[in-house]
Amino acid sequence: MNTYSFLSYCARVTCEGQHRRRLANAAQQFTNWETLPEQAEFHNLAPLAYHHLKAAGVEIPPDAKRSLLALILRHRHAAQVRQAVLGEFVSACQAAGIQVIVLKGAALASLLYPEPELRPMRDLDVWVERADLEEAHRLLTRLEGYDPHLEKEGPHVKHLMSGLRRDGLHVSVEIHFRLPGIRREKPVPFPVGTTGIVAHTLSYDEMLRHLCTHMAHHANVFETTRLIWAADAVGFAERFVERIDWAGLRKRSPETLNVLSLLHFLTPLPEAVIEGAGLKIGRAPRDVGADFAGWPRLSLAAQRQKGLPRILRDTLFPSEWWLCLHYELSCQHPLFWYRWVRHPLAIAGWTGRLIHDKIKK
Amino acid sequence: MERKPKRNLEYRLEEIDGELLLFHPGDTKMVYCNQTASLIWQLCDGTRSVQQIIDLLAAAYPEAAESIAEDVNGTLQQFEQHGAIQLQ
Repeated sequence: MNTYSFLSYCARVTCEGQHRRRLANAAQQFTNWETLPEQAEFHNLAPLAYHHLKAAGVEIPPDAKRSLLALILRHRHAAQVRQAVLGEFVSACQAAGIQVIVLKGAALASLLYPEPELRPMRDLDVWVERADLEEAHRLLTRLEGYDPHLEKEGPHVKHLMSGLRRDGLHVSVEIHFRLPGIRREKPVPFPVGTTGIVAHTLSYDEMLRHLCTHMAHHANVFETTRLIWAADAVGFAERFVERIDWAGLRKRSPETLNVLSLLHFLTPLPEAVIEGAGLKIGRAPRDVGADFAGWPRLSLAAQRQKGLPRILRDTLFPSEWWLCLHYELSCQHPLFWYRWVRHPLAIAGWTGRLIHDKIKK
Repeated sequence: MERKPKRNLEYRLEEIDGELLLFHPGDTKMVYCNQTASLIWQLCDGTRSVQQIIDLLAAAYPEAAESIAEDVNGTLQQFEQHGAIQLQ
């Protein structure tokens, strides 16, 4: 069993009953423990993986255990610092009459996960109206530790990136002002850790849309996906199954349910979600979890050892799993058009762009 | 031996699941400590010389007096290499 497959057993917010037994059984077959801490950290799963392994009574080899514990301590401290910064920023915005919506991990850490440290993140993502952007940014610059050198320059098309240095840590804040397709309706309140501040995030429906879209968006020809995103989406659907308007979501955003049904093959959905959402699961796509492994994500030089036929195959004929996820298709959707027309055309488009850029230089 | 070790205040020593770890929040470096190393860390307040730390621990643990000096010096060297202390 490879490390990715083993980690997928840990890619869920709750791991009890049959899931815990499955994890314990998988641990008996797993031997690549030395690779676990690094891979878990790559997928933002180190604290969650340790949490579930410990609960399942798995004996983690000493070196791997120490490495995981070291990661947890760092993430614990980082979570405390981020929660404090988020609380201060939200409080300042509220005092100034600015409605700020907290997005993704920054919200889920408190709303969904048992402890904020179980949900590591790189940035704090928040969303304000375009008209409030400058004032929100000004409020951020007045927080303790603001560092102007951490401002990301360049055209700010969708978000503005700033940062603070606090308690030895660099805290990056992304202030979004454009989130196409996501509605600012029925925001859900949540307490920001132990700060005493109550912030707001997206509605239940919009959050699930956002999480599934985020995962699909990152399954592209340049990036890889992270297992923590699967844990987010599946965990959120599980926890708030009664509050999500599944019929409305199916009507407005069927691709959200397509992605959710795909994630079932990575980390199983509970029956309550399958029934509540009316999902038809069907056959698993081939190569579940296999990210795009061709060009342009990997340079031709980096892939040289694979040989040209394999490079072409990985580039033009990616895994069924990746095709379904990238194009947000259900696992029952015929793939012919995407496999033989749309994806090759997309690669041709990237090739054309590359040639154009080189000529321009 | 007259040099006085002082803790870098950005470093933290914390216990988690039976392990004592000395770490800097913004860094990937970690020092795995045992109980002796933890005691030595606590004594690195910039007021005690290395010899004073050795003497203190030897008095507290007479049965281990022979190896205390080596333990203290080895631990302080490790701390210094990681930037966790400065020898003033």
